[in-house]
Amino acid sequence: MDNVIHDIKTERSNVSGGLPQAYRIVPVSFYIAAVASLMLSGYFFLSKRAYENREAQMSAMLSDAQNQKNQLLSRQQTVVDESRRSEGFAKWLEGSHALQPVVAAIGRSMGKNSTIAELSLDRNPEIPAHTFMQLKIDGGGSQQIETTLSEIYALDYQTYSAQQVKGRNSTDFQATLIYNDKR
Amino acid sequence: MNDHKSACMILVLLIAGMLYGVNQLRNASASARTAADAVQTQAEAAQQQAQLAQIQLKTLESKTSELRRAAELWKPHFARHATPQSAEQRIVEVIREGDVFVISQKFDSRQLDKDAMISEALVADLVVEDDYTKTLNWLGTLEEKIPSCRVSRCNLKRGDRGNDIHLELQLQIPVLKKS
Repeated sequence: MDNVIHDIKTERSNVSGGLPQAYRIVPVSFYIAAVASLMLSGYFFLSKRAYENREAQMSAMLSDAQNQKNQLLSRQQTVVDESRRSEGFAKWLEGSHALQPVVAAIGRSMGKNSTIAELSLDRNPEIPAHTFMQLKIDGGGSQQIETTLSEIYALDYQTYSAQQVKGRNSTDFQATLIYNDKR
Repeated sequence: MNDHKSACMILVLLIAGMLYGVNQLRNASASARTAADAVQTQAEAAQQQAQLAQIQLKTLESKTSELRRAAELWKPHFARHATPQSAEQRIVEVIREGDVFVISQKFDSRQLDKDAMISEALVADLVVEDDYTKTLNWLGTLEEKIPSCRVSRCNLKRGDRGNDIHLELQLQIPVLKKS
């Protein structure tokens, strides 16, 4: 122990008494603390640097992921906007089926004793896909109405809330036509 | 206090200083680890969110692809009328080409639903009286040449002369302002 304690002292004559026995632990502790401090400092320093590197990598990864997420959200918004626009077109077109084929079919369905006195097709302003039809036929009666309805059904229309009033020589028929897209 | 004791005191202070320094470094290392762990958690969460957004985008694209494809086909027809004047011009052209006898014509620009995608339309009220076949063919041509138009009212009666019909027509043509 003496050698350990005194090995870094230069040779000199003792001017005071030796260190008391209990105090000898202090220099020994100092050596141990110095070595341990060096080793632990190195270890903690390297750990700190490794954690800082990892943090930098993770920050870059976070930034990439957030950019990617933002791009995807932006594309989602674009698709949503496009879809909303497309739905607007679809909604308009749903209430814009051509009426000429209906008028032509009703005209074609007339038998030799029947004529159209008046035909009115009005779209419901709230639900344009629903068309209110009022038809007044001179002659023909119920049989003519059935023939006319068959022609309308052949165009993929359905009738709803139909009413028929028979006069002396004419028949009034009214119904709501709804296009039924079977394709 | 003799010299030995003073030296021991100094050593004790040095030991305390070294321990303090090491502890500070340990704390710094621990803080760096906590920060790195926190950023890693955030990065992993962000990656999961990005993956989720990718899945949602693909689902949305596949769900709406048919609708968007159909809209792309129709878009040129809607885009053709950016002003009520161009829509009116188009109707006048179709009337001229059809050579039907128009008793009256009235054009009006109307606001539909403000929140709807199609918020404005040109409304045309036409009264035509001509030969039955010619008039019906003209009506068909009108609906064919202006595919985006909506016939909102169509009243048909006998005309004043032999085979004529009297047709009252209300048309709506969507006016799609350029965005």
